[in-house]
Parts: sequence; C-alpha cells; structure tokens
Amino acid sequence: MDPLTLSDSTMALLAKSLDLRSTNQQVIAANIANAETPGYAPARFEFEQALQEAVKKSTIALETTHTGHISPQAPSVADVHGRVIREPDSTGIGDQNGVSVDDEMIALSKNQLMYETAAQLLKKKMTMLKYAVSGGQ
Amino acid sequence: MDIFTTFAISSSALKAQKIRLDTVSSNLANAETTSTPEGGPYKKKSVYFQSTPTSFDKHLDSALRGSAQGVAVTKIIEDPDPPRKVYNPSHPDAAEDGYVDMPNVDVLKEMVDMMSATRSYQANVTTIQSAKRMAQKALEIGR
Amino acid sequence: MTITPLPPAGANTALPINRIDGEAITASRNDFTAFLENSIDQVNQAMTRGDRSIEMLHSGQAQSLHEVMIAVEEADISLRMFVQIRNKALQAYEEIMRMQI
Repeated sequence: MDPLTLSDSTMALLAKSLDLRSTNQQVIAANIANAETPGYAPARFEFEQALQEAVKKSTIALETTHTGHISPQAPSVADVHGRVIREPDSTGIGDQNGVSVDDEMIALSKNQLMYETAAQLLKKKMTMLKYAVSGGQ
Repeated sequence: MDIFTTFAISSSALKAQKIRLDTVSSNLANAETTSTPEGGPYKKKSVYFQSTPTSFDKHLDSALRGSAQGVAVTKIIEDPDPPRKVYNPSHPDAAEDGYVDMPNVDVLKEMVDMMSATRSYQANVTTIQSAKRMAQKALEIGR
Repeated sequence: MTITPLPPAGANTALPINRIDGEAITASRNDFTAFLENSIDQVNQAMTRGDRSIEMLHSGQAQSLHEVMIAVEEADISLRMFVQIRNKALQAYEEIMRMQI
C-alpha cells in the first residue's frame, strides 16, 4: 500500500455510495417533477445489485501463487455506475402516467437515509484516521 | 434492513388505501347510474384486503416471518344487495310498473368509508415518518 | 568487597518484589508487552467489525442501522482508548529516561 493512501476499501465503498445516491436523488426528483406528465414512464436508477456484487467480490479475492496466474477481473466498487431503466405504466387507466407519488416518496426517504448514513460513516472513518494520525492530540 | 421493512409494509398499506379510495370515488360517482355496460344499475364495489406475508421475506429475520405482513387488495367485490327501487315512470330505464332500479350505493356509508380510508392512509404515513425518525436517531449514535 | 554483577539486559530475571503482605511478586515484564499486543489485536478486531458492518449495510444484507452505528462507535472508542494508553506509556518511558541516576 502506498504509505499516503490512507483510505481503505470501506471508505471507497462509502464514497461510491454517496456518488450513486446523489444520482438516484436526481432520478427520483425527475419522477416527482413529472408526476402529472401524461404518458411519462418513471425511471429507476439501478445500482444496489451491482454494488452488492462488487462488495462481495472484493471480499473474496483469489490468491495468485505463480507469476503465470491471472487474477480474476473482479469489478471493483469504483467501476459500479448503475443504469437507468424505465417502467412504463401498466394499468392502462388514465393518462398512461406510471408515477406513483407514494412510491417515489418512499424511495426518496430511503435514499436520503442511506445518503445520510454513508456521509455520517465516512465522516466517522475520517475522524478516526485523523485521530490516529495526530497521535491523539 | 429493518427500517426498509417498515417502509415496504406501510407503502403496501398506502397503495391499498388508495385503491379503497378509488372504489369509494367510483361508488359516489355512480351513485345515480342506472345503466352499465353489463346491464342493470351500477353495483356498489368494495375492496377485499388480504395480508401479504411473502413479498418482503428477504428483508426479515426468520423469527419475524409471518408476524410482519403487508396488505394488498386482491380483489374488488360487488355488493350483492338488491337495487333500490325508485318510482319514476318518466325515466328511460323505468320498468313497466314505473319503478327504476337505482344503484345499491349508500352515500352516507361511502362518506364514512372515505374518512376511514383517509385516516388509515394518515396512520401509515405517520408510521413511515416515525420509522424515519427512528433511523435518524440511530444515526445520532455516531454524532 | 564483592560486586554483584548486573543481570544482562533482556534476560527475564525480574527481581522479586515484596508486597506489603510479604508475598513475593514474580511479575514478568512480558506482561505489558502481551497486554499491548492484545489491545492492538482487540482494536484491530473492533475496526474490522465496524468496516464489515458498514459493508453489510451497503450491500443490503439484513442489518439494522443502530447495530452498524454501535459497531463503528465501539471501534472509535477502542481506538481512542488505545491511543491514550500508548501516549501514557510513552510519557512514562520518557519520564524514566529523564531520571537522574
């Protein structure tokens, strides 16, 4: 490890989480803004699955004991980008607008909560690092 | 996560209560409708709630399974009560004796149902807010 | 006059100290090293536990928020505790080094 690279994989995960959740916030905001737009298909920002897989793979890394061994290309947490998918209205009632404001509000709350948690935990990790670096002064 | 289980349960209830409100508005809108595509007067619709134990099992601990359940409207049933008979010989749907079959919708009952749906909706919103507050309090542990 | 030679440095021959009740203490000086090593291990474990719970939370495995916060807070407190022990030990060492013989 580079001696000046003090951030670990957990901090990278938290930083990525903040990144993805702020994008998710924009997607949800767009859905709420278009709650009355006829024919609007709400967008979902999918990243949780990819993030989970990246976290799981980074914890199970294969050991290379020979120079000829190729380390499997585990998608690192930094490579998770997420994708936007559209969910068109399936009820066929009304103006073909598929936005459910309840669902969006729940998604907004969940996103906000996870963002706050990630920010809080990142701050905590940094405080701990600073404390250790300054030797408790 | 536990907070999101609460969200999922309350969200299912919000949806169910909204469908209930939809049926109430349909009943009120058609309180005087004497002709329907199926023939005969409009029949009062009501929702059939059923608890859904399986949809968020993946979020739950095994001990909680079955005890925390969401709700869903699984079917909309028609009230089997006979139609109200109103004497109005000039009405196009009047029978030979001059009586018209009016919908079996009781407006007073519908208003009560509407208020009940609104209160249930509010209760579930409060549950969500409370779950959120709890999560924020948990975050304060690290502050 | 005979001079008793000092025991070689590093030899584990602590002089027996008599406690007030007369019982001899044969405390090995390794005790403190073991204690330090043990604390480092515990702090490291607490921090790994905290990191693991953060990863579990963000990979969606069922965990409650407060458990994560408590695990991280425990790691923080044990780190602070350990750093303070280290500082005190260093202080004591420096004080001994400054002692006039």
